[in-house]
Amino acid sequence: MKNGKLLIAPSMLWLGFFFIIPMLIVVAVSFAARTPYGQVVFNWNINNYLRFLEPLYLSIFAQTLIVALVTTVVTILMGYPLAYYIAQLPKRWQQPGLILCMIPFWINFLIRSYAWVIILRAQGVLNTFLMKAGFIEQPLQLLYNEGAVMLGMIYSLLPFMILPIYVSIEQLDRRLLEAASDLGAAPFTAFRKITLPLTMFLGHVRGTGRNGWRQVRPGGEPDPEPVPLRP
Amino acid sequence: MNELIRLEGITKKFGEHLIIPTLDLTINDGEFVTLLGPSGCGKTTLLRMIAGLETPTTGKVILDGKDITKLPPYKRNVNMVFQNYALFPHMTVTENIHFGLKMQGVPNEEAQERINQVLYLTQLEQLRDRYPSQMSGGQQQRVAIARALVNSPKVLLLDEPLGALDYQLRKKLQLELKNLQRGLGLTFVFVTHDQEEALTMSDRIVIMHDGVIQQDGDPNGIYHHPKNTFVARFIGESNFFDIGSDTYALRPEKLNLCPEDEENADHPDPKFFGTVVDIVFYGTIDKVFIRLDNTNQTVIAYQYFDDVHRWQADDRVGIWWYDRDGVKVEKE
Repeated sequence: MKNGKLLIAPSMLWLGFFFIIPMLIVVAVSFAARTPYGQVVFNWNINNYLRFLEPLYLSIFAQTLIVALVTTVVTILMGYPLAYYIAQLPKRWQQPGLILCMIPFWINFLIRSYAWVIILRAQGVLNTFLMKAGFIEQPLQLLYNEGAVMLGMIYSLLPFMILPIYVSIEQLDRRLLEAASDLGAAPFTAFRKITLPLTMFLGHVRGTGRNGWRQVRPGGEPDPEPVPLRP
Repeated sequence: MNELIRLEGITKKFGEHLIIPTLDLTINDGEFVTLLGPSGCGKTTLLRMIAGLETPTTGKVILDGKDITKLPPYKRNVNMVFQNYALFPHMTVTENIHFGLKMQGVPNEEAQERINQVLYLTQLEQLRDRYPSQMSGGQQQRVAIARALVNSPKVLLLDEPLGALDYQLRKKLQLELKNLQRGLGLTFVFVTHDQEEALTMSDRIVIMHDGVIQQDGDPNGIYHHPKNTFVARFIGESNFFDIGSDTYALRPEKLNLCPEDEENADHPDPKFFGTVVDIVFYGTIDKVFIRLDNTNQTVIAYQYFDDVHRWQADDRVGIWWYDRDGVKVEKE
């Protein structure tokens, strides 16, 4: 046990330095004020919190929550079947399946975002195709709106949904499904009553942090990764 | 007795690997049948075929006169108690037990009644709202049995259900299970590799080896009249003696020892001679290990606490037995 604690010490120190301390700094700064030149003055007041209650910021907060919620639901709906499919593959195909999900994420976030811009902009791939095919006459506004934000969020967060779901499905004891079948549950019922409750978890709120970032600067250039607050 | 299950010309291949060559077996209504054999002998595969969790490569599974070979598990009126219980971890005891009844669409009132009944039978009333993770192995085992029993299956299939429990608890549950089966008049098909368990619990034992039934009979017959060397060795302890072209199996308790140079003995003449190599204390008995003169074979006899003659290592002994105790067996 003692050795075990020693082994986790490096990661605990890492988290302490780069996660917990910066968090505390943010909390401290929230009680400070700012000079017109952007300098932080620690005069301990709650003005920032009062400003948060102004309708402008409240609505941003509400939108953030909505986008996070929709992103979560959509990534679950898209990620679960894929994770389930990969977990059902023969063992030797599971690893390649997961790697295929991860490969796009070896490319820099900025570059991937520009790829989306190329696809979605007015003279982009999608609009050009739709116009050539005669579905539309004017290019659609696909960028710099709620839909684009949602698309980007879902795209970038989907693997973070697939991986944990895959792990929990992969670790699910198959004998439980045999037991369910033995007790009279047809395959879909067994999935609904056993697999789903045991592999589903709704604590996935990774969307929230990133989204706040985006809402403040709608239509701006693609965001940098919000290090180090959300490792 | 009425026939309940018939396995007809069953074979099973996993890939190129032949697990069960060809097998026929009939199980009667109300019987406690044990499939006994070393691991990998095909006993669990056979059980899973009755449950519908495996499909035979060829052959038929007949339950109560109906061919159920192609029927999926959820359409068969049999229930299984799994080796590691396979309780649903996100459900309480009651919910686990209720699961099968819900699947059958049993009305809630009747379901509650039946649940209470099996909770009573398995002495789980106090634990009804616990989750599996909050219970000991023995308690989980009871839940697994209750969950299967509540469906009133035609056959209860038990796959080494006591394997994960410690010795004392296993003894206790063996008796409980046997009483339950007898009391309710159920048909049990029980899989184990523990010969002692098989002997104490079963009405009938089917001994398997490499997918082939070696012997099928009541515990008494199997113990006292093993058909071949495999059965004799697998059930209890056996010594083998080659006399002419025949092989005889003798239980250690049937072997008698006498001094090599004994005169005017009032028992049959010794058939073999040897030297005592070791004596090991086993509680109620001592095991006497004897190396036979002609072969390098070691045989075992028992020495009881009240025996007058105490054997020592290096003693020269004669080994004799009554002809009725020697069982002629086929060589494997």
